[in-house]
Amino acid sequence: MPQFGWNLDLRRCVGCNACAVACKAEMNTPPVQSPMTVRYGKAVAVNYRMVYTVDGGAYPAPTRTFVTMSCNHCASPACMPACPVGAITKDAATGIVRIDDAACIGCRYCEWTCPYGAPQFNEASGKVEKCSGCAHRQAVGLAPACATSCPARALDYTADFTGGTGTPPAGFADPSLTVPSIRFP
Amino acid sequence: MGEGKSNEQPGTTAASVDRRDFLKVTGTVAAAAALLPAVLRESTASAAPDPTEDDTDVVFIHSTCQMCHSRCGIKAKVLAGQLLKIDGNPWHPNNRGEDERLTYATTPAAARTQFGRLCPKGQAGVQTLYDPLRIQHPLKRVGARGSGRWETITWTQAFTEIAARVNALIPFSSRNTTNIDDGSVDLGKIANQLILSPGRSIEKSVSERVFKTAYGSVNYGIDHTSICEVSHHTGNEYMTLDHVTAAQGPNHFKTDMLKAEYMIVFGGNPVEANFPMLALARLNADMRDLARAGGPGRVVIVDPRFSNSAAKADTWVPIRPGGDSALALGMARVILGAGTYNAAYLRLANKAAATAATDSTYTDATWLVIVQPGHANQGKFLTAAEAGLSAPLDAANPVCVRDSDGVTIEAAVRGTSPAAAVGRLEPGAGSDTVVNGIACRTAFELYRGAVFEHSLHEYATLCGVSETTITTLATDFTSHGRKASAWTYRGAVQHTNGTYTQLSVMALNWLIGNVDWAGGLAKGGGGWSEVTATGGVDTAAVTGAPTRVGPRMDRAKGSVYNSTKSYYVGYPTPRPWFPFGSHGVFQELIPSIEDAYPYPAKVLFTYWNAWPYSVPGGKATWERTVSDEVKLPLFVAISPVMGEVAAWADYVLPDTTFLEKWSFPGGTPTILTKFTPFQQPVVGAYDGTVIGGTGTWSFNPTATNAYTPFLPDTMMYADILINLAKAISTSFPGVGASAFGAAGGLDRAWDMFKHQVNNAVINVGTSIGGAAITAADFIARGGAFANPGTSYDTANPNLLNSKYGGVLHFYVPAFATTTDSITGVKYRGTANWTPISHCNGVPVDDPAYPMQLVTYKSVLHGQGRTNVNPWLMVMQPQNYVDLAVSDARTLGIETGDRVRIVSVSNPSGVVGTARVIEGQRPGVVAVMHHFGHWEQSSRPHAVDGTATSFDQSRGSGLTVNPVMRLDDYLGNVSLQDPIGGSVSFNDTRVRVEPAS
Repeated sequence: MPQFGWNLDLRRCVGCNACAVACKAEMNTPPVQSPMTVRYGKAVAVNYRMVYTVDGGAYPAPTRTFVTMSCNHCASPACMPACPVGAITKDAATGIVRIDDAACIGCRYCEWTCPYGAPQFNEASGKVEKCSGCAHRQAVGLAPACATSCPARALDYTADFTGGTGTPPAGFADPSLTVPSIRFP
Repeated sequence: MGEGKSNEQPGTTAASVDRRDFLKVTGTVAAAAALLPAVLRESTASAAPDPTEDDTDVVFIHSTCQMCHSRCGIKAKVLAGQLLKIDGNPWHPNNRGEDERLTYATTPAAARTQFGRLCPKGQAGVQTLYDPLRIQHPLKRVGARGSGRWETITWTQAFTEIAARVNALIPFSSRNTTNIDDGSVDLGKIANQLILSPGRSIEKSVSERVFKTAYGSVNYGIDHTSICEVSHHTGNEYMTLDHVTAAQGPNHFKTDMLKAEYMIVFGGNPVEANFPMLALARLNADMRDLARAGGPGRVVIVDPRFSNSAAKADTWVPIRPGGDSALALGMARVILGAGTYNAAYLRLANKAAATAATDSTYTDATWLVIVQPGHANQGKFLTAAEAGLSAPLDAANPVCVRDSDGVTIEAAVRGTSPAAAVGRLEPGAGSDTVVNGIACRTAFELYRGAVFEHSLHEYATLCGVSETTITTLATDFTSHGRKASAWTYRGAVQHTNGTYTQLSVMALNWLIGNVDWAGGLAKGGGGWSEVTATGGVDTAAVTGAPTRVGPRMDRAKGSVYNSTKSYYVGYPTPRPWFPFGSHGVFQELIPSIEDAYPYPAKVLFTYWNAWPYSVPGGKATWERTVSDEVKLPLFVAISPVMGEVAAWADYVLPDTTFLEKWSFPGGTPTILTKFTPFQQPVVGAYDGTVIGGTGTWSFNPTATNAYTPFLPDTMMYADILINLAKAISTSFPGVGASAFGAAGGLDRAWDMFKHQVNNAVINVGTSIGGAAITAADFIARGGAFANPGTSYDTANPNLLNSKYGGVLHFYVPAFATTTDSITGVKYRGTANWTPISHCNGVPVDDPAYPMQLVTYKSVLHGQGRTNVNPWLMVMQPQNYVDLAVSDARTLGIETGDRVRIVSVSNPSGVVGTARVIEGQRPGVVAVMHHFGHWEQSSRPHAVDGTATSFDQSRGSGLTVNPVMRLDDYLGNVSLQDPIGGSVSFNDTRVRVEPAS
């Protein structure tokens, strides 16, 4: 079965968040309007892709690593069996894991089970959303928006993911748990 | 390290919103939704995504981004006249590497599915356009200045009233005949009392046509460069000054990162804030890929902060702020001591010698400088005539001692075709070389003398970098032949010793002779001119233009102070003069108006300007000055938002965003290939037809193209200027009917830009791929771009294709022979260590304030204007007071604590939230710029008696500019570099204390 996946060279990543904003620009995720919508004292923000900065070491030898992460469209997604209403499916043609917004009841079980923090609860809609792999773009032969934006060419995708995860960054969940479709060099 | 997570939720800002404010904030959402195109409403997972690129209703317009100054190419995706999304321009060399960018012959149809890369700011530009809190109509002040009370007026009323008030203050017909002061005629004519201060402007061809050439004010553009990195420019300009033609060479060099083996950056942040970040980040990654593969490709970042660039470098050098010059001089001391400089190159005394050696540039290293005390020309290069040479090519020719015999004095440069001259670097061997009875030293000897004024140990102490590290840096720098380079940016040069720092760092490059070499230092590919062309229209020429005379308000950019002038009062002068301030001195604008020196101001126009927000120590001086209608009788702000400047204006004229205007934005030297990018509206309407209104829409260059912006009662800057000029006088030169003679008039922006597009197209000719391009090609691609693969000289691939090819100075006679207007002392001609000082030469010493304040910029924000972009604000909603772990421990401060920063100049200080980090030099306090707005839609104003919508979160975080050190001698301006005119952002001593 075809499997969509990511190729990610974090050595090249400069932590600029172009991928994260590209995702928002493509998917129009909140906050789009200004001023931002506030719920429970916080701006409503739904980010399908996020860039984490991991600082370590000690002066004068500090370290900093950037990690960009979205849904890894796992071969064995933990979110799928966790959904009590069967709203999460894996597309047979692409391997993309999707949430059916109409079926989602906002229980957030998927959010708790995902080791990569991919499902995002939308405080405004009361439902969970996540990366769609830009299926609408892939359907017409275009790469996901995050991949085309990456300034340092750290992030790319493949429609035919095979093989293992390579050398993931520190803190990356054990790949054997869900078999994520992401490869690090 | 939770605090290091970039993807912070905006709770910190929104949490402080109390219930009453919360209701206000949410109450404005209705207004927001009204402005936003329906297709851009916030999605849920079930919402249909945007139409894809194959949708034939979608139109793509290629233009140029201005969310920062990188000026990257953009590809605007437009559906039914609405901007859906911004991607990168796939032809533009910022946005794609040499191996993936499109050839110019690639058709726009084929490029529909091609995306250039684009940073987060650029992508968020759509929110700058659709910001619901933009000013939508011209405003006139109805309360006191700064009261925030306005009425809406029409453009006709605005132009009519402003013109009448300008003419009442400065009668148009006598603007260039009436003296400002009959008792001091050299101050010039009253036209000079009209000032345009564009913070950022890439429309100078229009503004200078109107205010400089046609109106005749010397104050046609007091712009922002001195609060950016101007001493870097100034240093480069004078180190490349051709003393024959007085032409200046490149003011900006960058590493050829495609082939570089070693790059050391002083006070720059290439993968985050330096420009063009897109290209720098990509090339930085390429260099380090090479290093990982066992090859060369070392990157060194010199910065008190462990910036993202430092994190992506091989070496981080946590320098003491202001010590960059000491580090560079320390490296030079090691290099000169070890003899590891490229002596063969430095001996090349003229172009003929360089050519013979298959080199491109040459230096003044061997040229003799008069050091004879009391000699009339002490400090200048010894001339052939002074040397007593018989039948020299040219009597003014500088001379050197012939290297082959160490005796013969020969002419070096000037003249029609001088023979190759190879000079001796140190003919005096420690003593003066006496020529024709005149004591001289070579430029190299003077440079060496300055370098050896301090020991390596002293330099190490001054810059806070160990002798071992300095030695290692020097050794590495000289271990890669021509493929190493050093450059500076804002962090290194925005100090009172900024110009000398630039001289110190650039001299390292001259020592290894890397300019114009592959992998060395590049001036960039340049571009094709749009201003004029053979067979085109000269868009700078104005018939009936008056003469401009007198000094500028900032006493820079050619302003002359000497005993021949009627305003000469000896030394010190009331305020400093900047004979080398070749880009103006922005921070002097308001203090000079306050002091009415050198003359009183009458009219101030601002554009894209945030003076009180962005100038260190500027807020208090600003408020004192602009609230005084005697000192500033008329003040008009051109601004799309109610920013810190506009809030104090008499009239606010709302211009358009960068997505709704034309310009020729230019490029940067990181790009080695030639290109002329273009900026054009991506929304709005031409002659009433909506841009991208249907899938078959296309731009018609031959139409009138009267432009209506997306917000129809706003106006493009160029159109504002044209209308203003016509309102001031029906006989205003250079605008209106037949402004371009037989080529037509100038009644709207396109009347000018159509000629500039044609000029660019003519100048490109067939140089891209051998086929002539058309205006349609140029407009469709967002400019002209040389094809990939044209970076290097085809005849000699060791050299760059685009070369500087001129002289490089170790010694700047102009500096050494010019007297500072405050101290009365001459500047120095070479790199040297000069302490951080007030303008009267007294070193800055604030012993009660043990820490040093620096500021920096983030990749997620651009200057002071991205607080309007929710996508950026949600990623980085506020800034912090960054403290080193050891300092925080001593102060008893933890991350999240509220802390106060105080200085001599601001004892009440500013308050922010502490963030304790390992990646910072102890003793340094660092605060990110961009935040702490007190205007810019963060508070309500009253328009026509109704409170405006606002967003309190736009005022999140803090700005530390208000605590920055004022100059003790002047009192109302920050510390500044007396030579280049840089404002000092990084020399303020502060104390940090818990804020209860």
